Parts: sequence; structure tokens; C-alpha cells
Amino acid sequence: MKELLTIDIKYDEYHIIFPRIIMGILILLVVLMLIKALIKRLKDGSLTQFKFKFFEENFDKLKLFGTIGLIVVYVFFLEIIGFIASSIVFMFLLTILLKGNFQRKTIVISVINSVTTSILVWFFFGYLFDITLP
Amino acid sequence: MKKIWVFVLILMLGAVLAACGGSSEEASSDAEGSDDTTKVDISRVRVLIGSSSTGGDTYQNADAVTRYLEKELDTNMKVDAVGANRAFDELAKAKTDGSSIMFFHDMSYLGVEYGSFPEEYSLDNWKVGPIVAINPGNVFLSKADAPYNTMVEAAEWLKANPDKTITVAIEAGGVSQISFDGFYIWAKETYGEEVSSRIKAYITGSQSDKDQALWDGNVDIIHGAISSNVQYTEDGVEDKIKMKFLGVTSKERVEGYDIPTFAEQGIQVNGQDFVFAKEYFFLLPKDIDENFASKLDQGAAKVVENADYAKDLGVNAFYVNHYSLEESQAYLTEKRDFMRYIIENGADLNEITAN
Amino acid sequence: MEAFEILTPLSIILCILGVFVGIIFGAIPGMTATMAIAIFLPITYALDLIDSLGLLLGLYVGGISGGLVPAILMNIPGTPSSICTTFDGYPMTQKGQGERALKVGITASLIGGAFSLAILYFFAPVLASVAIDFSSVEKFLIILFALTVIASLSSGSLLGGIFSGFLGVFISLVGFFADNNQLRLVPSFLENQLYYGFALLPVLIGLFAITQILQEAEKGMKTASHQKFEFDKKEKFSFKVFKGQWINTFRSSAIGTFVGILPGVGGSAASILAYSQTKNFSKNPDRLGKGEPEGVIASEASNNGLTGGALIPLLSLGIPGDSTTAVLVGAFLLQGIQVGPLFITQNPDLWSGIVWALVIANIVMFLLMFLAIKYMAKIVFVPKQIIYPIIIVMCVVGAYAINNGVLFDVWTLVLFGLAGFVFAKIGIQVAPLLIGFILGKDLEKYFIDSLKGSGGDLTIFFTKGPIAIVLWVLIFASIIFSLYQSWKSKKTGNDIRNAA
Repeated sequence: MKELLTIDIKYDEYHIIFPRIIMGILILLVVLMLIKALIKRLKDGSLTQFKFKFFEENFDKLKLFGTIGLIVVYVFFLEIIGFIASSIVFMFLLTILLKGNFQRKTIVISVINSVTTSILVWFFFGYLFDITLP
Repeated sequence: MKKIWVFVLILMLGAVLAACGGSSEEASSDAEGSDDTTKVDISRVRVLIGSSSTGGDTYQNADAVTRYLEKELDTNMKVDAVGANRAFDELAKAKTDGSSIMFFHDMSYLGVEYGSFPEEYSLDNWKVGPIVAINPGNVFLSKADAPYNTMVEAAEWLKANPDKTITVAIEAGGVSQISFDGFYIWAKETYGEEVSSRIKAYITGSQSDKDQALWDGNVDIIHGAISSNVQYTEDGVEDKIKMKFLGVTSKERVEGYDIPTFAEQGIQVNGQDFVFAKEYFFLLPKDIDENFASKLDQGAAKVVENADYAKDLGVNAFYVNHYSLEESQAYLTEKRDFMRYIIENGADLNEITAN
Repeated sequence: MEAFEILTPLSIILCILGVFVGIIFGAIPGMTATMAIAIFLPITYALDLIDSLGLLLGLYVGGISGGLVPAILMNIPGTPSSICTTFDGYPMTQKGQGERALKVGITASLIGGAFSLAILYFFAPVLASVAIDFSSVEKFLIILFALTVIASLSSGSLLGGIFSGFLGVFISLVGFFADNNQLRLVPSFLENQLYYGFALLPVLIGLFAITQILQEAEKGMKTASHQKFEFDKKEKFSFKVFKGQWINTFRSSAIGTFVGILPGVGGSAASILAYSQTKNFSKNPDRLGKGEPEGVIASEASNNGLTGGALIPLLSLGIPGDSTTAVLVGAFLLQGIQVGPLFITQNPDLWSGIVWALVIANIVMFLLMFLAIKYMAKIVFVPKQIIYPIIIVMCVVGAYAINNGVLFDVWTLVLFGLAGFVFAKIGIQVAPLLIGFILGKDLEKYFIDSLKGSGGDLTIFFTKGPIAIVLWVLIFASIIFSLYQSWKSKKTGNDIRNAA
């Protein structure tokens, strides 16, 4: 019994003891979930039916992928062209993308929003509070 | 009513800004006092420190030296507590104009020797900047009621009680491991395996983890620092948490404290007294701009002369200790090579952590 | 009044300013109280100790409190400890009760803060001495106890919730292990970036803010229903909300204070533990998570309860109770003062100054926020197309700054934003995952520390002492209770929680 309840802890292996335990629990849970799903499907007689759908019905492709794309490009350029420039461009484009049109009003709003936010953030956090900005 | 509150809020915001603005203006106007010879071209220097804590000795030393140095260099220095690995990583990628430099202590090379940091962070791959401070208070402590009062007595006690062991709380790869190894090698050379095999290590992290390990009864001796542990040794502290100093590794006794040094206790390694104190220095990118490096060096030389700087260090039991840029690389390399013997002959953590 | 003899006028003004700035830092996703204190730390060198403490304690109280604003209004926790505030706060906003939820939260914060302050003032040395009796074994069990909340938070599939929680723990283990400096679970090409693992804050705001924005983008950014109706047409806030909630309020404040007292158990554990106990003891556990003031009270009372609690071990032992008070240590050291077991007896003036500064900070926090709520609450009426870009930029700034300028943390933010979007689709529940992630590292640390002490003997977790036994009883009771709840609500055809 004593043997069973003792874990071999060696200095060189301190770092992998716990991840192994958690990994074991995760595998156990996956197996349990699979069994449960299997039983349910057998009961319902729907063993071979798959109707999983990742995206919502009629999802807004442009806005979703546009937003993801803009964020990635924004972060990519952060340290290259600096915080203020990249933030202004990013916010300007994102506001237009989310609004979904090129009306004058939209453009004016997005310019104001992007320029004021970026500069205010830089002024307060970057300049006054001396936080390290990109 | 509403308007009044809005007004108050705005007023307060204004006051905050004024306060912050004031402090930064103050800094720049102070700087005008210094002559132009040490003025650097960049407006902002990021000082990365090898600790992620703003409550530790590295931060305090970095804060003190940069506060005076930024006036000499007429620039802004910002201490960023990013942690050792990240600091090295950033330093390796840093521009050579001096906009990012590092400030750390002996762990920067000990960590490499012990294998905690990769070889690429070795001292040989940086330009070592000036050394500006020393912390002589590298100590070991036990609970106040332990049956020994010095490190030598602890070893004697082990010899007299063959069924007992002593566990020491240390942090792997740093100053505490080298100090422990010094004691361990001495005990092995003096008393043989019979005693040294009963000296165990408990590997943990921060100072408060070590303190807690002592109170939990998981260890008998901890590594510590005078400045952070003296509070637990004073009269009036509850018995449950009271500690006592067993020895300090500095060359001479630290003024104001009655703690025997390792040297006077007779703890020797390889025929030499075991002496170790933590020193604080700048690390610069290998191909740093010569102009910046020499200004930093001259600036540091002025700062160490400043009595206010010494006073600031003194409140936390640190002392001024200066090696110029020219001397520091050779000095530290020599210190490292002495430590190498200890590291090579030190205890294998796998063996001494096993119960 | 005693307060004005010890506190200088400057310290009071700085305290008020500190609260104000702290609230702003707390309210901005990605900025925390810890960061606010770290930023102001160098400035305090020029001040007297009591003035600098006024400022820093103000920042501390303000920063912890400000987190409830975005949590309630936008479903984005402003700080890690306000995660549980989103569970009921945001549904209240969706029902048009945003302002009411804010007022409930702020009042609960004040009570929690006052409670912990009283404990700090009267019992600090005694409790600190109790705190060190909690060894790594007990700390491991307390974190385990906090983790049992996962069982009661799981929506739909209990098994799925537990899986998500452990997945969170697993993700938290990525990076190096502090004891032996060894890396694990890190692909070799990311060794430098992932050395310290994924930072908590970018993960948190990624999973909440960025995921939510992506989900809205998928739906085409339509105006949400709650943006259309006027505020508080339905239910006005009155202090009567607290009728019948006193036990909850005090239990949560007490849990917050207690978790604060324990050094090394992270602050977010406080509100998680308080929320789960409120759920266990509630008369209507089914309704929690759907917009009950009860849940907001539990979360907010406990995280302000933390403030006084975390100062107890700091001021009477010299050991910080949480990461924010760890930064406070720096302020004392800059002035050459060691906080330790003799601090209170040797510095009676400073000690009462600290207590008074906290009293002022709590009151100012309450007044400032209560009066500003009307204006803050309007934020939900700002069109999403304008507010979302601002939120993203703020998140990016916060993520970049949290470790003083690490671009990888911004990538973490984006990565977890995307992951949260995918998780929601494939049935991995975000709330349990996040809780697992927050508590995972501490769980491991105390597990390994316990075994280092016992030489690998697992029975130590049962044989350590009476406190351990009590904790096991609590853990099992909590699990059994939430299993029972889940079974009961399944029977009545109700999900415990709609969406995580």
C-alpha cells in the first residue's frame, strides 16, 4: 500500500511530475466522454449521423475574417512602425469594416475615433505614466 | 449637483496630471546641472533587470543607481523588472545604441555555470559594464532554538548525532546554491562522506518560500540575506517564527551585525577561505556603441562618488563597490573561475534532494 | 480626529488621486492594480513614507474595485479577480439593469473592504500567526477546494466542464518550472517566448474580450437588445437588495479576507471560492449565473475583502499576501523600512496611518464610483463599431505592458482570442478553463512542495493534520452538492448556466 501511495520525486524530474498527472486525467476524461457519447448515440440509434456545424447560419464572413486579419496584421506591424501609426491605421480600418460602408459620416467617425484614442492612450500611458509601449 | 461632481472629477484629473508632469519635469531640470561630457544621445534607456520582482534586492539597487545615473547621462532610465531569461533574450536582440541594457548580479554567470540559463547567455557573450554595488549580507539562518549557533557547529552536531540530517533551503542555480556548495564541499573535505551525506537540500524559489519552509519544519537551515531576514532575529519576535544567523559569507563581518563570517569559522574550499558577496553590475550588448559605453562608465564613476547614492544603498544594507568598465570583465571572469571549482565539486542536486 | 493627526493633507489628497487613477487602471481591461502600483513606485521615492503609502493604498483599493465596471457592462473582467463578477453582472446588464448591478457591486465592495479592514486592525498579528500554520499541503487543498467551483459552473455537460478545467490547468503548466528551471510542454522553436509560459492577463482578456468581439463580428455586429432600452426602467437599485443577503455578503467578505491572509494563494482564488460557496448555499442556485445580484455581491465583497486580508501577513510578518502587496514591499524598502514581525509595535503611527489611509480609500472609492456610475453606465450605449476598436487597442496596450514590453504577450492575447472562439464552437467551456488556468500553477507548486517535504509520500495530504481533514470534508461536500444540483436541474430540464 505504502508503495502505491508514493511518487518517486527526483530533482531532475520535478517539472514533469505534475504535467504527467494532469495529462493522465485529461486522457481519462476524454475516454469517459467518448464512451458517454457512444452510449448516447447507440441509445438514440444515431451512430453515424454527423451534423456538426462550425459557423453560424449565414455568418458574416467579411466581418469575421476581416477582423481576425486586421488584428493579426496590426500586431505584426506594432513594433515595426510603432504604436501610434499602427493603432491609427488599424482602428480606422476596423471601424469602417464593422460599420460596413464608406459613407462620409463613417469615415469622419473612424478618423476621429482612431486618432484621438491612439494619441490619448500614448499620451497618458506611454508619456505620463511611462509604460513601455511598442 | 451633477455638474459639480463632473467638475470635481476633472479637477482631480488635472491634479494627477500636474503631479506626474511635475515629477518628470523635475527630473529633466535636475539633469541640466551636470556638464555635457557624459550626456548620451538617446532620450530613453530601458534597464532590464534579471528579477521579475519590484520588492527584491536587484530592483532596489537598479532603482538607486539609475536614479543618479540618469542625471549624469541626461536621459531617462526606466527599470523594467522582466526576469532573467527575458532580460537576456531582449539584451541579445537589443540595438547597440544603449537603448536597452541590463542590470543584474552574480547569478547572471552562476546560472549559466549551473545550467539554469543556456550557454549563449555566458559572460563572454556580453560586454560587462561597471560594477556599482555590493550586498555583503549573504547568510544562512536556522530557527532560534536550533541546537547549533554557527555553520561549523551545525556540521559538528551532525557528526555527534549520526542518526540526524540537516536540510537546507536553497534556490537552484544561483547565489544560494554556490554558498550551499561552499559549505557542503568544506563539510565533505573536513568530516568526510559520513557527515556530508546527511546534508540535504530543499530546492525552492523566493525568500518567502524559504522562510515558510523553515516555519513548516521542512528544512532546518535556510539561505537568506541580512536585509530581508534580520527582522525575524530581533528580540520580541514570537518564538514560532524567530530565527538566528549562522554565518555570513562576506570577507569581513558586516558592520552593525554580530554574525561570524565563514572565513573566521574556518570554512575553506580548496585551501582558500570561502568568501562570496553578491555584486551588482550592468551588462551591455557585446558590440555596444563605444561612445555610449564610455559615457555610462564615466557616469557610473561619478555616481559612486556621490554620498547620497551611498546613503540610499545603506538603508537596505548595501554598499558602494566600484569596478570600472575596463576592470569589471576581468574581475568577474576571475570570480567566476574560482566559483567553477565549487560548482564542479558541488553536490549533485538529484542525490541531496532525495530523502 | 485621529486620522488627521497622523495623515498629512498631502497624503489624503494623494490617496484620493490614487483611488481615482486606480479605478481607471482597474476598469481598463489589461491594466491592473499591480501595474498601477508598479508604475507609481519610482515616483514615491520623492515622497514621505506616509504620503507614498496614501497614494499606493489608494491605487490598490481603486484598482481592485475598478475591475467590476467592464465586467458588468461589457462581460470583460477588468482584472483577474473580477471574473466571477461577469457571471451575474453581465446578464443583469443584458436585462437592462446595468446601473443597478454596478451599484450592488460597489456597495458590496465597500462592505468587503470595510470588513477586511476591521479584521486587519483588530486581529492582524493573531491571524498572521495562523497563516503560517498553513503549509503547502493545506494550500494545495484550498486551491483544490476553489477548483470544485468548476463542477458547479459547468454548463450542459459536467464532464465537459471538468475536462475544460483540467485543460486550463494543463495550459498553465506550459513554460519553465521554477524549482529546477526546466522547460516542459514547450515546442523548441518557441523556447524563448514561452519560457515564462502564457501570461495570465493576455489569456484572460483574449478569452473574454477578443473572443466576444469575434463572435459579434460573426453575427454581423447587430445592435444588442440591451442597447435599445433605457436604463433601469425595470428595477431601481435600492439597498434593499442586500436584505436577505447579509450572510452571503459577510461570508464572501470573510472568504476574501481569509484567502488574502494566506501568502502565496493568488487573489483570484478569493472570488472564485466565494462565488462557489454562494452557489452552494443559495436558495435558488439555478438562478445564479443568469443575472442575480447575489452573484455580484459574492464576487465583489470577496475581492475587496482581499485588500485588508493581503496586508495582514505583509504588515505582521513581512510576507506579501498577494502579487499586488508584493509590489508594495518595494515602497517600504525604497524608504528603508523592513516590514516584519515587529513592524506594528515599532511603528505605531505608521500603522494607524495605513489603517486610516485604507478607510479613506474605501470611502472615496465608494463615493467616486457611486457618483460616476450614471456616466460610466452609458458606455453600453456607445455603438459597438466604435467601442470595439478602442477595446482591442486597450487590450493590446495592456498585454504589451503587463510584463514591461513583451510582444509575445500580445500574440498570446490574439491566440487565446481565436482559441476562445473555437472553444465555444466545440464545446470547451471558457469559464472552467480560465479558472483551471488561473489556479493551475499554484496547484502544481504546492503539490510538489508537499511531496518534497514528505519524500513523495502521497498520504501526507490526509495525515498532515486537522486543518487538512476539514478541507477534505469541505471539498467532498462541495463536489457532492454540485453534483446533486446538476442532477436536480437536469431533472427539471434546466441548465445550470446557459453559457460560460
